[in-house]
Order: sequence, then structure tokens, then C-alpha cells
Amino acid sequence: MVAPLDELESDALGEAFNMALGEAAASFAELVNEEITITVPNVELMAREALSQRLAALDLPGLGERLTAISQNFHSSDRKLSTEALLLFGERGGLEIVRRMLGETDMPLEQITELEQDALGEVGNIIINSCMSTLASIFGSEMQGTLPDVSQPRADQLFGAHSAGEVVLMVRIGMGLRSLDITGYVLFLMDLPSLTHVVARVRHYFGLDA
Amino acid sequence: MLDLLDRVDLGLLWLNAQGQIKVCNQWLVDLAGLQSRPDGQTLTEAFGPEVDPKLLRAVEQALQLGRATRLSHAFHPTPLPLRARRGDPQQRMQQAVDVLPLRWLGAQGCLVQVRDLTEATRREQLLKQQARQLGHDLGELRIAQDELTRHSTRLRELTRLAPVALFETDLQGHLLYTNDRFLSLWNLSPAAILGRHWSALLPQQAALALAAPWAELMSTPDRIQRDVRIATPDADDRWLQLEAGALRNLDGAAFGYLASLVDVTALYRRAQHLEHRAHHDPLTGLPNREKLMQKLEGGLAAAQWLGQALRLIFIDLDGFKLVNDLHGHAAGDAVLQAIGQRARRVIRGEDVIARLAGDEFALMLSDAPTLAQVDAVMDKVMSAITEPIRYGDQWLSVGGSWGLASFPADGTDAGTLLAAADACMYAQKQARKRTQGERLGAVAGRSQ
Repeated sequence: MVAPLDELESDALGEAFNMALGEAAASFAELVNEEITITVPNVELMAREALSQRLAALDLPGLGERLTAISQNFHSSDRKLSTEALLLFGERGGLEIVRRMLGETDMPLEQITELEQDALGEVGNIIINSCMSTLASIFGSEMQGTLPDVSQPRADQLFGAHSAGEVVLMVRIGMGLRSLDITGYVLFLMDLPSLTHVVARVRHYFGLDA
Repeated sequence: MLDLLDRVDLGLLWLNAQGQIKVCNQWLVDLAGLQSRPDGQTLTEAFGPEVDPKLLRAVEQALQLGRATRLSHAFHPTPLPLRARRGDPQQRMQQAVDVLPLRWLGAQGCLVQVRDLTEATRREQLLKQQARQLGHDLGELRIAQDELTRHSTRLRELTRLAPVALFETDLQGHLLYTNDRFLSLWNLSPAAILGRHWSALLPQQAALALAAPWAELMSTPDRIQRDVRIATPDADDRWLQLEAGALRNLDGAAFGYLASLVDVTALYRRAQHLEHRAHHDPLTGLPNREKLMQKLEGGLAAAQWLGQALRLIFIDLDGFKLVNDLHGHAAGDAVLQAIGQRARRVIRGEDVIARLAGDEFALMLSDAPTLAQVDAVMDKVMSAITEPIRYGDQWLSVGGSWGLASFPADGTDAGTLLAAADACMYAQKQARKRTQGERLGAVAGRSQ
């Protein structure tokens, strides 16, 4: 059973991610010379199974189809905390966001190309690294990360490598580029010891135990 | 180890925590045009000021925060000043660079991997160009397809609504397409008709008559138009008007025929009716003066050709005015109708009796009858005229005078011959009146 984040913890984390994603938005704007808006993130902690059910029940935009997933693995230097960070878009949304950034909205190809996949990897890399910077400062520990891996799994294959009992810290963000509004989801998958560590660190960081 | 790194097909750098290059493989040395391996130098010292600041920041983040960073080609085409391996040596190599924190030999540091994407970029640009072209072509094809669909729908509706029967055949004349009106014209279903030769629907005589002009369609750019009579034993004759032309491809080669059929029976019947009215006396139904003159000219031409005689008799009724005066015009009309019917019965089929005007008739006898034969015919005709006619509860009777003119003796053209017959009749009538007057005078003398 996962202890949910209480309201204060969620709000505190949301605020922290908001600041981190502000940096990510600035990085994008620099990349494509266009203002990119990122909505205030919504943070929740839940079991992987519960998340799957939640995603299915909520019918969140873009997640009913094949997904574009950008993932990176992180671990703290003392290896007490390890997590897989995932940035999810609907397949169409991932394709549209990268083509919009590359100024190739008229491209009739249905499939993402190799170079576009690389570019999408960089987009995910910027967002995930920004989020991880926030978490690292909360954890008071460096978080070493791998390079981004881009894939197009089906929704039911998303958590293939993880056991059902793992918990997910879900950060829902909206990204906007001119007329394009895409909803993305940043998920941090972690095992129970990592979670316990994270919650303790969050409470400590925001002074919620006092 | 370095020897192994020198053999991989990508650029590899390892920098220590101070950002100094400790490993640089030969791939990078060659393509950056370095004189020697840049051991101990920073990226900027080794590769110059053209190093992308993003790459410097990524290295910094890897060393300080342990972050791995991907610099994709799309957003950072040339993070390092490397020359392209093929083509113009002035061209920069298109790259993708990955920076990841990596401890090596117990020391903190980061690995920089440089992939050459020049060829992949070229291929992808080509692919995208082809995809755009394909998208454009598909768009045009879709427009053409839409136009074709609209055209086809329009054509189908037009043929459905067309007031004529339409059909298409192959070059051999086998039916490929017919509209509904065509089917209802022959009272057939599409299954019964498609694949059959279209002329099989026609009577044999009409089919034979059309075979030659139909065959000509192949070689002429013109359309043919023919009226075809459809005679059926158990129904009235029908007349169809056929119009047909060859269907040709862009090279002008014929690949079939398109034709229309219109039922013109009503037009034919109306024309026949009008023609009959123009040439017949409406009261008696006998040919009128115009028709007689036509027949007479035809008869004269034949007689001249055959060297035969032709006889024309002018008949004038006697006492007809008296019938009109005493019994009214309806009685006069009844007399004329009765005489017309009787006279038709007593003459041969090839002879012509016509009502010229009022109580004047003319009879043309073909086949060179002798004078004796003329007399015999006229005896019958005069009997038909003089026999009393029943009108209500009364009996009416008239007499008749006639005069004969013969071709070629009395004239060689229709007008002269008719005038001669008229003159002869008049002379005969006058002579008879004189004779009757003398007889009456003699009787009066005797009675005095």
C-alpha cells in the first residue's frame, strides 16, 4: 500500500517542478526561437497498477493510442535512490511537437524518422533533466543519469520492465507551442525503498515534519 | 585501449573533472584537423572558439551534476568544427553528440560521443523531399479522383435523365452499356442485353441496311444518322432514329461506339397524316388535284419511257347544282361521298380517280387501254354515278358528262392533257345539251 502524498507535499512538489520546468521552457525557447508555455504541473504519487487504471479510466488525451516514450534511468551517488524517469506523449503529439519545433509541419510522413527521434530524445532529455535537477536538490544528492531512450510502446507495454508493486510519481504537464497544445506526462518509477526515501526527503526539504 | 578507440567509427572524448581532455580518438583528431592528440586541453583550447556553447554546458552539467545530455542533430547540427568525410572538404560534418557522466580509471569525468550523421541527414532530406513530392502527387491525384467521381456521377445522371435511349458497344458492336431508356425501349433487362450484338435487337432487314454505315464509323470522324423501321408482326410499325459515332482515345484510335436511339414513330405518323391531308380531298377521301397531277406526271414519264398510250378522262356531274338547291349542301356532300366510294370500287388498283373541285372528277388509266377498254370502264363509272343515291328517305340522282384526252395524241404534259380532257368533256356536254334541245323541240313540234 502506498502512502499518498498529502496535500502539502503535493503542492510543495508541484511548486518545485514548476520552477524546474520553467528552465526547461527557457531551453526550448532558445532551441526553436519560439515561446513555449508549460502549465503548472500536477503531482501525484500512486501504485503502478493504480496509474494504469487511472490512465485508462481518465482517458487522458493522447494516451489511448501508441505512445512516444522518452526514458532515462537515474540513481543517487549512494545508490539508495534509483528511478526511471519517463516522458510520455501520444504518438501523434510527440510527432507534432518535434515537427513543429523543426518547422516541418507539412511533412506527410506518418512515421517518425531517425533524426526526428533523436530530436525528440533531446526534448525529453531537457524536460527530464530539469525535473531531475529539482528532485536532486530536494534529495540533497546528485542524481546520475543515462542518455535518453526513445521508443513507441503501446500503453499496456509501458511498464513492462517494472514489477506491479512499484510506485510512480506522476507529474502531468501541458506544453504549448503557438496553436499546438500537447499534454505530456513525466513519470518517475521507483521501488518501495526508493519511495520511502523520497517521501522522507520531501517532508524534510519542505519542513513538513516540524 | 587507445588503439581500439581509434578503430571505432565515431568520435570519442573523455574529459576529467576539470574539463581537460584525457582521451581523444584518432577519428576526432583527423576530422577536426588537429596536429596531435589534445591531451590536457579543454574543448575550446583543442577545437577552437567554434565549439557550440550547448556542448560546453552539457559537459559542465555532466561533470558537476552527473547529467547525461543528448545534443540532437536537428537542434545542434555541428557542435564541433569537424569536416565532412565525403564531398566538399569545406563542408561541416553533420553530428549528433551525446555527453554522459562516466568514471574512468577511478576518476570522475564525462564521455563525449560524436556520431557522423552527414549521410543519414542527406538520406533523410531526400526521403522527406520524396515524401513531400508524394504527398503533393497524392493531393493532385485526390483532386483528379474527386473530379473524376464528380464527372462520372454527372455523366451517369445525364444518361439516366436523357430523353433518348443511349448505348455503348465495343468495336464489334457488342453492348457494353445501356441506359434505362434503352432497356425500356426494348423491354429487356441489362442481364439479357449486355454482351449481345446490338443489331440483334433489330429486324433482319434493318440490321442489314445499317451494317454498311455502321462499319464506316470506324474510319470517319463523322457521326451517322439513320431512320430505322421496326416492323413487328403483332404490333404497329415503329420508327427509330439512330445516331452513332466512334469513341476514340487520345491517339485517335477507335475503341468503341456510342449511339442514341429516339423513337420517331409519332413524327412519322404525323408526317404521313399531313401528307395524306395535303393530297386528298377531305370529303370523299379521293386524291385531290395536286395528287392527280403528281400521279399524272409519273404516269406520263412511264408511258413515254415504254412508248405506250395514257388516257385521262375528265368527269363533270350533271344536275348536282339542283341537288344542292333542292335538298341542301349536306345532300350534295352525301352524293359526292357516295360517288367517290362507288367509283373507287369500279376502277383497277393502278388507276387513279381524283376529285378536282366541286363536282369535277378526273380518272387516269394507265397500261395503255384501248378506246374500247376506256368505254367499258366509263360505262361502269357512269353507272356508279347515275345510280340513285339514298339520302334519308329520299333517292337522289345525278348524271355525268365525260371527255377523254390521250397521251401522246392530245398532249404530252399533265396540264395540257387535263385541259384537253376538260375541253372534250365540255364539248360532249354541249353536244348532248344541243341534242336534247333538238329532241325537246321536235317533241314540242309534234305536240303542237
